[in-house]
Amino acid sequence: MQLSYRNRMIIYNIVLFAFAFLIVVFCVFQGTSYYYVNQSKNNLLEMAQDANLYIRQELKDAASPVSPENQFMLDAPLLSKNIANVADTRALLFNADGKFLADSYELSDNSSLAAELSLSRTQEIPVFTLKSINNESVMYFVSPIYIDNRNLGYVGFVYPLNEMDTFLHIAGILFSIGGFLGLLMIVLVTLSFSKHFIQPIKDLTKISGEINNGNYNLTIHYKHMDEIGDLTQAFNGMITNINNVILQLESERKRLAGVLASIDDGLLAIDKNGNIITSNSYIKTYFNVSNPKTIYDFEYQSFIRDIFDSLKNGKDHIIEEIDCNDRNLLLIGSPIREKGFEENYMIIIRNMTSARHLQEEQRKFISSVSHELRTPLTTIIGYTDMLTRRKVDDPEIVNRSLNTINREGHRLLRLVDDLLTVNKFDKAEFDFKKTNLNLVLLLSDVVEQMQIKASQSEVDINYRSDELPEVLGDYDRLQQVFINIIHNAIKYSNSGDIIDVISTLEDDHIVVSIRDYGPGISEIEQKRIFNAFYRVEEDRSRGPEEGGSGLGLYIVKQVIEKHEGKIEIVSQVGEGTNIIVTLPILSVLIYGGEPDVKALS
Amino acid sequence: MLKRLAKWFFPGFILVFALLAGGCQSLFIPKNVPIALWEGLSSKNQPSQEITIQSFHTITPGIVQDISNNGNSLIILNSENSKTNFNINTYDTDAQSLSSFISSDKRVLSALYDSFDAGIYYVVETVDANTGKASSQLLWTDINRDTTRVISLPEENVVKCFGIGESDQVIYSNNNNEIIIADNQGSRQIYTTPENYSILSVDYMKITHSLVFMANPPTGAEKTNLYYGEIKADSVKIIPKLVAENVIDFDVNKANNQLVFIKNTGQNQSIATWSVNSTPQTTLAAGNFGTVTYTSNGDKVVYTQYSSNVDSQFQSIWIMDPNGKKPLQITSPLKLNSQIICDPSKSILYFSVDTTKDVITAKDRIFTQTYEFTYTIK
Repeated sequence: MQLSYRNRMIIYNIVLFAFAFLIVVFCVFQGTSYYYVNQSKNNLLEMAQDANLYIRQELKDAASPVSPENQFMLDAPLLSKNIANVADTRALLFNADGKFLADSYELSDNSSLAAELSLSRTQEIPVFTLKSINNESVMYFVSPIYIDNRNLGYVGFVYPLNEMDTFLHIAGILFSIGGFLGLLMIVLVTLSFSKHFIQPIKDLTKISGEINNGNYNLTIHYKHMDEIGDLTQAFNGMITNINNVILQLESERKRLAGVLASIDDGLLAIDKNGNIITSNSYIKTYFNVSNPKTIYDFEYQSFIRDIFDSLKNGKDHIIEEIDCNDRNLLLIGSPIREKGFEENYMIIIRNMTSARHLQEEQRKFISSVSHELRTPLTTIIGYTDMLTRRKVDDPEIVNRSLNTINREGHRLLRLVDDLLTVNKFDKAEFDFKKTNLNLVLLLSDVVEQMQIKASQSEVDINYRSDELPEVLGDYDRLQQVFINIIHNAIKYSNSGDIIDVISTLEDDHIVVSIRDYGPGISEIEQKRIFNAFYRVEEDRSRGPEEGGSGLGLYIVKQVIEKHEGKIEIVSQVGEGTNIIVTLPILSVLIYGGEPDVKALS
Repeated sequence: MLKRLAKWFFPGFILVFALLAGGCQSLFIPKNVPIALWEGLSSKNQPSQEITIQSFHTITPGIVQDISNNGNSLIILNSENSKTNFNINTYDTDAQSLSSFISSDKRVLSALYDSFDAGIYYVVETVDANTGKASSQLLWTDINRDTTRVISLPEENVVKCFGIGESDQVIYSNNNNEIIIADNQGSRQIYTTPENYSILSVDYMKITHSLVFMANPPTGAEKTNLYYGEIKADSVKIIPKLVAENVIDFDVNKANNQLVFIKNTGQNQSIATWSVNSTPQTTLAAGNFGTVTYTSNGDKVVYTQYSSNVDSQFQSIWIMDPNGKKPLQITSPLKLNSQIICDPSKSILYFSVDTTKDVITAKDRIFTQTYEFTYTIK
């Protein structure tokens, strides 16, 4: 059973009051008793003195021939009555041997002073006894009587302490009433005051609960400047400080979370027990584990647990590269050591897939460039060797060889030009000279140029177009794009074929379709046709003189993408090929110079 | 909780029980156990001095008024309970015989021997039969009862308490608040006070030729103050000097002109002395006193004190040194009805006591007896 603070306060107050009250009652009763008894003792001594003098006076007054002792015995009844009359209390007289002589009250019981008389006779001094007779306090008193330095006898008094009894009786009644009323008052006052005192504590408890639930925007209102007021102020100050600290921590946490989220690497911070302190979103991306709590949540990524174990065992720096979920991941593990704190660990997971792919692409590119450079050079070197060593006199052979060397030389030149173009695109500082241009005019111009080439191959080019809005683009580059595409179409068309060039407006894009009816491209080749140095099989083109650098469509794609457009290929073997270029229309007119990027966006 | 309750319950219970039980029982003075009072009364243990009663006996009925200068004769007033016959008797202390001095139908209020014991000054009260108005006169009768003279004027109403001056002179006051010094030869000198003091008692101080009187102050306050005034030959004006307030009795020490008086101080009273030469009062004792007087040679102060534990009518006689030391009770409580008269040369006191029963006649009535009390103090 646990009593509440309020009930305990009431009980303590009652107990305290009861003890204080009992002590007061005790002191009052004891003090009063002592005062009355002491006062009565002094009175009895005075009465004994008076009785002594009175008896001496009376015996001297008697002028009797008999001895004072005998006269005392003779006059004892009258003397006792007169002494009692003056003293206003019962008086008894005894002779020197302690024998009873007279009693003012003429009571049959005269032996009640026997003990006092005996002691007084032994000590020759006054003796008194405090007694309780029928619940009334009485003092029994005996004192010797002297006359002419002789012990004449003893005078005794039975002195009731009525006044004391009455006082104590009334005081007892008053104390009982007072005690009851005081107790009642204490209970009522304590009930009332305890409510007043407890309320701020209740408020503190309630608000502490709210704070425990994370609500720090509360304050306690207490208007008195007392101890509770000081506590309330301190508590409110503490809440404010906690709130500020929490806001600061929250801000720090958000900032840190932002930093963590902005990192392109996955990050795991782990304490020494394997609990995850923090992680970022890449962890779910890489490992498909949401909000991991411990290292053991990585059920299928045992390599993470291995790194954690190694770090825990004292290794300072661990780098591992693994393949996981079609990704090439670099794992870097290191301990976090800070003075005064326990050692924690951090694992950084870096996605190396793109880097590796880029490396592979670069490797392939270099290999392709080397190969592409090697082929014409080999041809040129072969023909020049032949002409030099064999001393060919046949002009036809010489002429044909020189034509081949020339052709391969041009091929090398185109290849180098394309490489330079590609290199330009890759440079960050390269930029197109974009203006608002009419694509219909551009396409008409290109078609007109390519009609000559097409007519040589007995291919006809049909161009149809809707009325189109302007686009923002680099005229020369776009012209190069469409020339390249139409050139390819002519290249892979048979005699008598036609090439359909159609430009239309779809939503906010201009779609340009270049359709040939050549041999078509397989699906596998479609995927790689825009790669650098990719060329379809040469036998599908109509002549070796038409062989390119393998960078044409790669450049086309780069140019289109630089114009925020896209290029697609739809082809089926035997059905021909349709190249579809989509370019965004110009939504804001630009009159010369660079477009307003903000307006465009 | 229960363990804590148990821990506190038993000591608490014992303490509460002790307090409750002790509150009703006197712990300081045990019951039913005889206790010896070593500090109490015992003749053997009287520390410094002891009274020995040589004799204590009645000498005559009546109220003692004065003793002659030689100590041989007492003035006893005795009305014998008669409303018409009032006697002034003289009692010969040597012969132990009572003689009738004056028998009158007028009530004798007070009487004093003159300074040569040649006569007695006394105040009688007369009541006009027609109007019922009482008046008092001062008379002098020579000791042989040959001559009686009326000292006061017929229009005067004499205050009962008067004093004896030098050379057969008497000093008294009247209803006009005058103080008169007269003699039995007819000379009289009237003195007045600047303000209207209602004089209740007057006495003469021989050494300084001055007087002391007890009076209500002119302000009309209900208290009696003691005043001192010098008698100057060239003036009939007395300039009173306040000695003490709320005085109920006083006496003059003929030997050194010192005053002793009883004054009320709140619920209690105190005995104090005052001297012309040393103005501040000296308090000798505190208690509940009745009368105070010097012995004739001034070496003791005799006073009466009401006993605290007995009927308030009873007073016991005490004696002490003039400096208030060695107080000694010399009689048991008595119903005193007179001043204490000290013998001029012996350790004898005379006083009158009321008794409710005449032992001799065994009749229940108020009966005043004059006692002679002879004592020695060792």
